[in-house]
Amino acid sequence: MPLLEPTKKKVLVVEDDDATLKALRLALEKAGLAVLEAKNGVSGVVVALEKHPDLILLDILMPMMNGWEMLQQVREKDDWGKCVPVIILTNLSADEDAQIRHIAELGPSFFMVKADWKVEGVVEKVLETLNAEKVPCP
Amino acid sequence: MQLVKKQRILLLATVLMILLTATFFTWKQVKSSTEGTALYRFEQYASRDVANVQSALNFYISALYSAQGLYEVYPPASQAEFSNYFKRLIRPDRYPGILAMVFVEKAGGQYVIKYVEPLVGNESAVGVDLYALADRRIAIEGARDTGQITATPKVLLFASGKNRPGTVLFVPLYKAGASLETTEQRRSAIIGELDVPIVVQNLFDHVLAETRDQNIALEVFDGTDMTEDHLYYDSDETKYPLGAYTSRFTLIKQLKVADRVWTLKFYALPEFKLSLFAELAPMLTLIIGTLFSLLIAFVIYALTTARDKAILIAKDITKELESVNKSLLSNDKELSRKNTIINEQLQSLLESKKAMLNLLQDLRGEKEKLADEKTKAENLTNDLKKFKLALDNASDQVVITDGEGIVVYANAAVEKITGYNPEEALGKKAGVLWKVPMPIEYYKNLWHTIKEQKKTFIGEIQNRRKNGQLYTALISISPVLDNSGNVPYFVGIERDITREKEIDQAKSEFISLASHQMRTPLTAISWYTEMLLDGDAGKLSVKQENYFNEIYTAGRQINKIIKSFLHILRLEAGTVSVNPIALDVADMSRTVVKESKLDIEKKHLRVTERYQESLPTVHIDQELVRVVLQNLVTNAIKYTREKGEIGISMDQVKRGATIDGKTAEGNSLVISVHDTGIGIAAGDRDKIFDKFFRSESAKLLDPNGNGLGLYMARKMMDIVGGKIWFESEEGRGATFYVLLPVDEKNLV
Repeated sequence: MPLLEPTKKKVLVVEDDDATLKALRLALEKAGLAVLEAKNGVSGVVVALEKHPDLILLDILMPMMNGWEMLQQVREKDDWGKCVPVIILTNLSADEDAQIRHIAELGPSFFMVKADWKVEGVVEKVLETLNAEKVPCP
Repeated sequence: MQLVKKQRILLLATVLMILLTATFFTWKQVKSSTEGTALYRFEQYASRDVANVQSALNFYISALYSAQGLYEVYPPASQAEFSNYFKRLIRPDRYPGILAMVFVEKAGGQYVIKYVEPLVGNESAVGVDLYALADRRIAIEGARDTGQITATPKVLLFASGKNRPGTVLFVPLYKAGASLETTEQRRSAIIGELDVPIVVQNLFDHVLAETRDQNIALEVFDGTDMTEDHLYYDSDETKYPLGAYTSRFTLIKQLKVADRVWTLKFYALPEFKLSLFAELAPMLTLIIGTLFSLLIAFVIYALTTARDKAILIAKDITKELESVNKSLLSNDKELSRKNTIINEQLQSLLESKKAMLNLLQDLRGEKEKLADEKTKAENLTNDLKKFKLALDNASDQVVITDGEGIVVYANAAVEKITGYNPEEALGKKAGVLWKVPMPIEYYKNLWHTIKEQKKTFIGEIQNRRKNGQLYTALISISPVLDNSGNVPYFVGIERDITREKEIDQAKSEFISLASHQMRTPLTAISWYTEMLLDGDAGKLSVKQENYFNEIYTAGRQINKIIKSFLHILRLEAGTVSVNPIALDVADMSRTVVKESKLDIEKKHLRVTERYQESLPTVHIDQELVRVVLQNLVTNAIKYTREKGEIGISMDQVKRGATIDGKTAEGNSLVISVHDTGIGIAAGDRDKIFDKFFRSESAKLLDPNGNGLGLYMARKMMDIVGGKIWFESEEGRGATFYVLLPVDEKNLV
């Protein structure tokens, strides 16, 4: 893992597809953000709880543990975890897939279908969320 | 008079004898008559010929005497003059047989040939001394001494390449004015002679043409000796040489020729006959006569015997008749008595017969009726058997209930599908055994349809088998109406469609999975292309930028396709979310048209939009309407040729109004999209809204279409309670109509 500069905001990208992961890294770093990576839900939980990123970009379909289960764990295990902003970045469609029908319960800030968005758009949304006023969370 | 056999035979013999004798004499007569006629005919011809020959010869002789006279008065002085004379005088066609005319001049003791006509071919004869030839000399001397024409005996003359038998006539020529009374005077007055060779054959051939046809032959002899040496002419020498044939008719005549005598022998050839009938007459007479005699004899015989027989028979019959007559007379009385009795009985019989016939008639009628009934019953039984068999073997479950839904019949398939056998189902309320509770509205709807609306209800239902297994069924329940409109029975048919559902489910899941999986690499393509275009990997040339743009566009296209697949799945699963908002449909339509501007301009299409004034806003899902409009407009553009026309119009219609045969159930908005494109073929009309259907002509214009547009459009209309249909004429264009309900209560 690369060294992090304290002033940069940290984004955890949880994504199992290498190409997608790399593209996100490039785009986010270009925008001046520090990028943490995890390739499945299990390592995702570990990195999140350890590094406390400022935002999590979360894919759903992953081996070993999917995004939904990971988010559940993050939300439960940690006070920080309850409030960390999460952008779901998946190729599943929200309204139809049983797996993610109740993703809303876990309070993501936004839901994006990768194929429908430019990578630039994703970065914009990330920055928007990071700079938004903090909503008090229980 | 009865004849004894002996007498009969005697009579027969006598008759026969007489007749045969008569025949014999007749035959003899006929024969001699025939003979006589033949002989007569023969003699006729022969005599005629003799006369002809004689006159021909006389003709020649007189011509020669004329020549003699002329010669003495005007002797020719040269060969040329001689030729002239005799060319005209003696012509071979007039005098057949005459070979030439020769002038022989007395020169001392010689008679030398001086002139010859014709000279050609006979030049060698000039100067020849004829006196040296014996037979010539005798004739010359004879003519000189007598002053008459003389003839040589038979000589051979060279003519037409052969030696032919002939004679030479000599005509004495004297000094003009000399006295010719005595032989001495003649001898001293002679100056020469005309020598005339004659080929006898030619002469006779000419004269005897007709005789030959009659099968009568002629032999001509010099002198009286009828031998070969003296033979001048044999008309039939090839078939019957001299002496070869002795004829039944022969005639010998003698002819005077100058100072000689010729003998003519005529004889009938074997072919000489009278007419066929005449020849055969005697024979025929004999045969016919004999036959006739025999016939008469036979007839007489037969008659006499017949007559005898007849007489005998007649005698017998007479005897019998007499005895019969006696008995008849005695029976007569008896009969008349019996007759009366019979008549009475006959009457009563006739009456009973009438009665019976009537009865029979009635019975027959009854029998026919019965037969009819029986056939009807049989047919019915057969039909019922067939139906029962069909039902029992049907794979679908058939349940018949009474008006309240109590089962009165269940077929064998009930057990196969539900696990409960028909007996268990009888008497119970339909479906209760295997039912899985559905929402109460479902049952309400079902009963309403079949009992109140009296229509067939079709729907899907979940059931549970006896072994606890759940299955999906497609049910169809129909009411059976009697004549007064009551429903005494319901017929329910259920089909186990679990398998189909599973397959469908699997398909949908597969498409869903595939679509999602495709999105991951698609994301990579899009994002990296995006970053390339942003210059993240270095500055791009114009070309590179263009190429990457193409890739990006293609990537967007793939995403669009995936989205539509997923959309359909959602529609089918019924999980599409509908968010009705107040929508200005006209506005949306304008946007859709604007989005397609490029394609419209590329094909030089003329687009007219007409939106009715003050159209109401419709509460409807925006996305839904957009998709439908986009679909119709894109189709219109795609399937219309260059320079075609597209027309879009929108109107409000009131409840109950009819548009193109469809009635609006409430206030509605009607959108029509019209084009002058390829239209829809009659055969494709029913399939146009089918999933994945593409017509042949559509495939030609756009091979890449997925056949889902109209399918989706219809599904969406089903969701919002709208309608979509079309009118089209193949090759002329199509108009698609969309009816959207305006009223609130039609919202989902």
